[in-house]
Amino acid sequence: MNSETENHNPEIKLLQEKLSTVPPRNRRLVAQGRSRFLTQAVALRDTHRLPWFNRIFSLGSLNRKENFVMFATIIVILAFLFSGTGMTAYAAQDSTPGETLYPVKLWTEDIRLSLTSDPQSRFYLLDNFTAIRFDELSGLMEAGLPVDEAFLNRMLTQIDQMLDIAAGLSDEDLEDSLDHLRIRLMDQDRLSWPENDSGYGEVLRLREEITIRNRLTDTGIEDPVKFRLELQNRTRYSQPTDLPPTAPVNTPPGYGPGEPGGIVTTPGAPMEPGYGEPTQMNPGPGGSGDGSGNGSGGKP
Amino acid sequence: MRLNNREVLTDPNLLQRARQFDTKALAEIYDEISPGLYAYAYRQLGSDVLAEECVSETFMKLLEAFSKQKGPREQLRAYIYCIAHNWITDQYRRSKLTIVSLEDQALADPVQSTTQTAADNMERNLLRDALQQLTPPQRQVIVLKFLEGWSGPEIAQALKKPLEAIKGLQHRALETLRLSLAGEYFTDKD
Repeated sequence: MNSETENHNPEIKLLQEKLSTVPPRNRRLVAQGRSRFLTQAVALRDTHRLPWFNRIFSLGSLNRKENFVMFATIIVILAFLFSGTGMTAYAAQDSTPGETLYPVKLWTEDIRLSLTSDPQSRFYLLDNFTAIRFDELSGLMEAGLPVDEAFLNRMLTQIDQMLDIAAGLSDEDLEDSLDHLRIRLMDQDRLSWPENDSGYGEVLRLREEITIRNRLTDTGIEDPVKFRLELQNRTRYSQPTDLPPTAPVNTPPGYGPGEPGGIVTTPGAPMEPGYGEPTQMNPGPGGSGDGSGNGSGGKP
Repeated sequence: MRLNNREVLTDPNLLQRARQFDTKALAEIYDEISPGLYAYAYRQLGSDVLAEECVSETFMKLLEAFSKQKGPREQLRAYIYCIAHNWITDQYRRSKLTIVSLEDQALADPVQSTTQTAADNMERNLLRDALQQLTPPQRQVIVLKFLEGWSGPEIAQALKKPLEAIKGLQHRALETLRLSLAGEYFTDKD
């Protein structure tokens, strides 16, 4: 059967006529799928950096009896050595803000981030963390629980880190990354934002801050040069981005003079020019109270 | 690696970098292949949600293969399409029931009547059911050749079968399709 005959086959004609057309993809689903794929790739790459670990713990090797015995022995030794630290970290992954294990969860996030050097990998890892923050925020708001200020600050800091990373990418990658971030920030749409300030003033201010970043993201997609310039101007008046996981911190203020400030506990606190200097520490639960735990804060 | 003229992943190191979980290489592969893969899945499933799920699961399986030091060392696209093909087959096997497409309505002409839209959806589902009556290799040949536009040699290379075997599969598939659709469709239409 030659090609010409095949194309006149009624069954083939019918298939082509009815099944060829495909509707456009949902951009949000596309971005989510892509992000999930790349995040998983980063996680797997981090695992593969420890080849001996991978060899011992791979499922295939467990099928062999001698490997299984070795595996069991190592597990016992590790369990003894680390006294459940790993289990604690694992268990902490399902914890929510306010729970005892939540600082451990944040700590493991920071460890993962510090082990990731590739900018794009860091971007997607932070994107993953931001998605988790949105889920946690949604849970807190639905349960009517108070939202800790440190939590909100951390969320904004992670978004700011993503913006900083994007600014350092090539124009093409910057556009892709910001488009991705823009879609991530759309997660706020599914939150049940409070209608008034009663008890949720900080959360409402978070919304404003996200809107500001959303605008900056749009700017970056349209004009990367302008985006970098705005980000640079903002940084001059901003806070450090690498912050400790548990200590409450100041939110970076707006993107320049005249923009609304971040979620700062003491109204009227002056914004210090020059980046890398925290302007203010906010004591709170889980923090050191005096700012001494803020060792990693500040850019060089 | 260059599979053929459809294979646009021209960087010879791309697959090698992807196997080492280089995110840039993986992103490039994803951006290059996922749109076509989505269309491939959608044509058979008739649901954008399921098609996206198929794309997502397929790429996750690719990573899984890489993490076990397995997966393709060449012919990446063919490998990915085979994973997707198996996923779609499993999906039908799991559901047993016909996957009814509601999303197909998005394809309908807005001025078409609801009755016409429903009739079109029924036709599409009928055709998808007819495709599912084929054996998996037969279906793969038909879909890749007539809906995705792959050539016979390309399919032979992807399925690792001789060209003659592909022609045989195609011939038997067309016979089966003719029988499936004769009673259901052509008696009314022709």
